[in-house]
Amino acid sequence: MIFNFFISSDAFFKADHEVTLIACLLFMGAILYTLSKARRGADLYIRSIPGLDAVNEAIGRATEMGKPILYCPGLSSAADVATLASLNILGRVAQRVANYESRLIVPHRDPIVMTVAKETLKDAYLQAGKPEILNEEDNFFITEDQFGYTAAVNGIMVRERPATVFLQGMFFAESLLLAETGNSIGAIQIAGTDAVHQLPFFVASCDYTLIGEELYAAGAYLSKAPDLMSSLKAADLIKGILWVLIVIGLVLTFVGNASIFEVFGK
Amino acid sequence: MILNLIAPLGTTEGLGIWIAAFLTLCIFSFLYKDNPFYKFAEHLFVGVSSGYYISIYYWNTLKPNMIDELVKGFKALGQGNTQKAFGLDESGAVMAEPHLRMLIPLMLGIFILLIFISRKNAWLSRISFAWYIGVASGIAIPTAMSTRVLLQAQGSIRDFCSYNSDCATSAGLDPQVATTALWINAFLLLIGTLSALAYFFFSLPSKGALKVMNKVGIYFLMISFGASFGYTVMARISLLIGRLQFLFYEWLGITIS
Repeated sequence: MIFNFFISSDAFFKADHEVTLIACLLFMGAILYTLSKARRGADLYIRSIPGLDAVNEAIGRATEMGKPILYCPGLSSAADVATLASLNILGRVAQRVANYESRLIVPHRDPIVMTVAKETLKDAYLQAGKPEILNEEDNFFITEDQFGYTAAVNGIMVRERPATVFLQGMFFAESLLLAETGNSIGAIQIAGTDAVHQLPFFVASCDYTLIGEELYAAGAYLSKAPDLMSSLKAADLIKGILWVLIVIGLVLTFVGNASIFEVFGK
Repeated sequence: MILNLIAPLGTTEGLGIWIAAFLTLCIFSFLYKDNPFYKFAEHLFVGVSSGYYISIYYWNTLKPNMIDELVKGFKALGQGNTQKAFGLDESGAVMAEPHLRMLIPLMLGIFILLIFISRKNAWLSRISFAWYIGVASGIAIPTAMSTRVLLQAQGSIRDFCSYNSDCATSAGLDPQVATTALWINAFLLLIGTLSALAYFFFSLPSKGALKVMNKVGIYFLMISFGASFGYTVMARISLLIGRLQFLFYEWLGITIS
């Protein structure tokens, strides 16, 4: 009887999406290849990303001023890639905050993200060798309501007056409200999101903005961990292949051949 | 300007309008600075929304999907119908109603709560998180690969294919007669895609041809951000107008004609 639970009732694999499968396998292969290279000690170069170079400076400034640091991990769930990237950055930021012995405030909209962040913070403070200074009360849930959360975070900003504000993850219509309030209290703001419609607001009102893919790269960039660096390298490899395929596809369309165009659609 | 009657406080509707107007003004007062009125509205908002969401989750998710299913499952088990209790019909096929199969997600949920209850057993929460992140990634990665990568790449050369009758016929597109403006549009799209893609290469130093492409790419990004900013600000202003209309028309009863 128990085996009946493992019978897939709907289509397990969509046969008309074979190119997506091949692309995913290619991506996995690229990650494994770059990972093995990284573990053999190969030098994995990453160009400078100004927004991430400023992280240390921003944390240092807050420490010097004796003010807290506010880290907002976005408003989406843990199933969102941007949230996962944000939690990754949170770990690196928390480690540095622990080293400086500053205060880190992390308000949440999603209870699952809050729980994952709790573990992330514990790990980070432990790695910094200062688990005793972690204040778990500063990692808290507010409400699931988008604008209720925004009103509360804005209130925290004007009352606690953090010297540095990180807005990293997925944001929606509240992005400008948060970034403007952060700007009004004179905080250094480092934002990052892959929400295309919110990026203009961050670019306009924050000191540094991680645009789309830069958010995903941040974890690897800050930690220089081989596992993360290899996925970044693999993504670059896939982007390179895609770039070449678009150019080839363009040339082929000019001579009336739609093969690459059709391949992209599967 | 026509001055009608201010919303009457004596009726239920009028009272609601007064409360809404008061809370709107409390929130607007943040534009001046943080103050007790804003604090009151903020705390009320957070409290009410938390209570509201707890109620929504209980009645829309927890009760129908978990509690009711478990009750039905245990009832069937009490009647000795093990197949039905685990959500299987008489032939052994899986039914849409999971009944006691919901014990698995219940267990995963309890594992997460262990973080707050038992430090010793908190490690069990990792099983729940691994499951959650694994399933979410499994769903998200192929979708992202298809919609954010392959279909976007296809879109960048779609126009060129449409303008070539052989390519359009082969791809099942409607062949289009390209004007100069359409060609310019298609080339801008292509150059924008390739240069913006080049901007996100992290593995190579920004030098030579790549530096030029990066610059072009960032210009394209900034132009698109500017357009998006203007468009969204317009939408936000319409929200403000909606709120002001409420204050003037419904609360104060002022009609501007």
